[in-house]
Amino acid sequence: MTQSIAVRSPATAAQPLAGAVPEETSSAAERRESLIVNGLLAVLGIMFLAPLLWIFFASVDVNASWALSWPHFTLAHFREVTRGDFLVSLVNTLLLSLVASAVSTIAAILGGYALSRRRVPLADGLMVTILFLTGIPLAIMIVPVFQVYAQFNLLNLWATGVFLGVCSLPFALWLIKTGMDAVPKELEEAARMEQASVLQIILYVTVPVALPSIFAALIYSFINAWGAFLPPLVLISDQSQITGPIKIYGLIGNSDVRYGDIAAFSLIYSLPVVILYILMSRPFSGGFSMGGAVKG
Amino acid sequence: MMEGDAAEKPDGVAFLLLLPTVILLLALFVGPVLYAFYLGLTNIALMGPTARHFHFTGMSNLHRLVHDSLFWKSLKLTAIFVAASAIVGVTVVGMALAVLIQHAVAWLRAAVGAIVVVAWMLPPLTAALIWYAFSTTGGTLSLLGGSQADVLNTFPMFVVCLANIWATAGFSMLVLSAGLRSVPTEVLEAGRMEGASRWRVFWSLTIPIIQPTIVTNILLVTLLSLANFSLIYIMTGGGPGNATNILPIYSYQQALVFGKLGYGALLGDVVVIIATIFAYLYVRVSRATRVAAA
Repeated sequence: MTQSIAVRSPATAAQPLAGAVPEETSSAAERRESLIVNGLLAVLGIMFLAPLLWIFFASVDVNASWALSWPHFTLAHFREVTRGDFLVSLVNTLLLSLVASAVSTIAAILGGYALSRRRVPLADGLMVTILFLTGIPLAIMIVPVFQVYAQFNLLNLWATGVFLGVCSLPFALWLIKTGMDAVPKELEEAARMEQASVLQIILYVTVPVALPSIFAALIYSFINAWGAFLPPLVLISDQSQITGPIKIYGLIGNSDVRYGDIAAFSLIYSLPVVILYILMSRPFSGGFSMGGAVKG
Repeated sequence: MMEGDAAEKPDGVAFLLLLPTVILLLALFVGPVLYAFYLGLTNIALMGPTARHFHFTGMSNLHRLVHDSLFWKSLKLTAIFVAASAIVGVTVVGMALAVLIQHAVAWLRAAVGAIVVVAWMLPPLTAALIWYAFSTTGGTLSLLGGSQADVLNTFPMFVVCLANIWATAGFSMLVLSAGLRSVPTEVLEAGRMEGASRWRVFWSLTIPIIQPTIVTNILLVTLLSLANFSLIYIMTGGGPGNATNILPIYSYQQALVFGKLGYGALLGDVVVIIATIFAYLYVRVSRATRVAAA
């Protein structure tokens, strides 16, 4: 199935092809080839690393600027950005992401179970529609959502979290339904003999076995909401509810740019995503990125 | 059989289980998209008298769209951004990384793989910030040039494309690496036995075998880039002089900066229509591949 192109982390990815028995005859040619391959990869790696270095150096540099330079070490920036407004915006980002991931995961568990186990009319058509929806960039369709939210006084953190949850819902549903398809039906039949209710079966039989796909969906929705920019920018009107990315964006535009604080805060803000991604570095599907399309 | 019995009756339980999903998708996904198509044909504004009392204005917004030179420019910039970064940049760079990583020594493979994947998974704001710092006046690139040159301001489209490639190549690398691993080694060895060069084997054997993966990858990255509002908005705001004003940004500007919600919605509709075409192709390709695999 295309959707589940297994992608392992690159560290474990390529099998050690080079570990084959070296051949005497072509060893000079092979050494030259391997030099070229490793050299080219090293150059590419440096090009990817160069822009990234700035954020690490500037975050601990007394004289930080936009340019990369060897830092005069300080932790003042980190102290500055872990209190007050900064901390509030991080807590806001966390709340927003929790609401979004709860909405999309709970709806997707129930819906995914129905699509996987129950006879749903046109289930195939529904799944194709869901796959199709993962490609529609809902997060940039901000005007109609703004209009409706403004009418009903919903321009706040919570309602924005629900909207971001819906942005991730199609892909979460796809992941969880596919995960549940792999759960043997016999497990449920035993529970059904015991007169367990549908909700009990879902909660105590199916969910525990389908946990990897549920976690993947949860983390996916969380990361999406955590990184969201346009929806919180437009849909959150209360300054005390702004999220991390909006806070950083405001700092960049300031007349007195505090380079070190910006770098340190961006690092702290980015760290959870990196950690969650590592936690999730199990096989994930090609459609993963589709959801990335909702990055607004 | 219980399954059979359940199938005969209309399944109320399934309906209830699907209800939250259906309500959420209708209210906040399908609903907004349809509503945007309606709003796009009205004179609704952010403020003023037509903010609340707006009405259907027929073809007037469409007429404006067709004669809006900035819209056509924006459409062209969107095409350039997507083609340069998604098709050329990400797929070529992603392929180069995938191939090199397959043959490199272990430590280099691990190090470069980690850097490229981190670049991909960083939140959009962080990627944009890093590239802004890298390319703006007083940034690393300008100092390398030996002056206070503003690289971002001089070659805005080029720089935002580079930034997008940087931020997306990791994804392509992962997808294409999986594709490369699925190529049977016997086929490649047979090609080498025949005396074909590595380059020849790559073009005539590897590429055709993993072609479906390449197509899927291009479609996915196109969808990713098409909706990429944050990266460009944070780096340039669409400027200088609209040089990077791709459609998602132009739509936002018209709606929420100039207050023309109706026209902004119409511009958003154009993005959704383009995305619909690519999403449709993606669904077709992935279904075709699944049938072929079955």
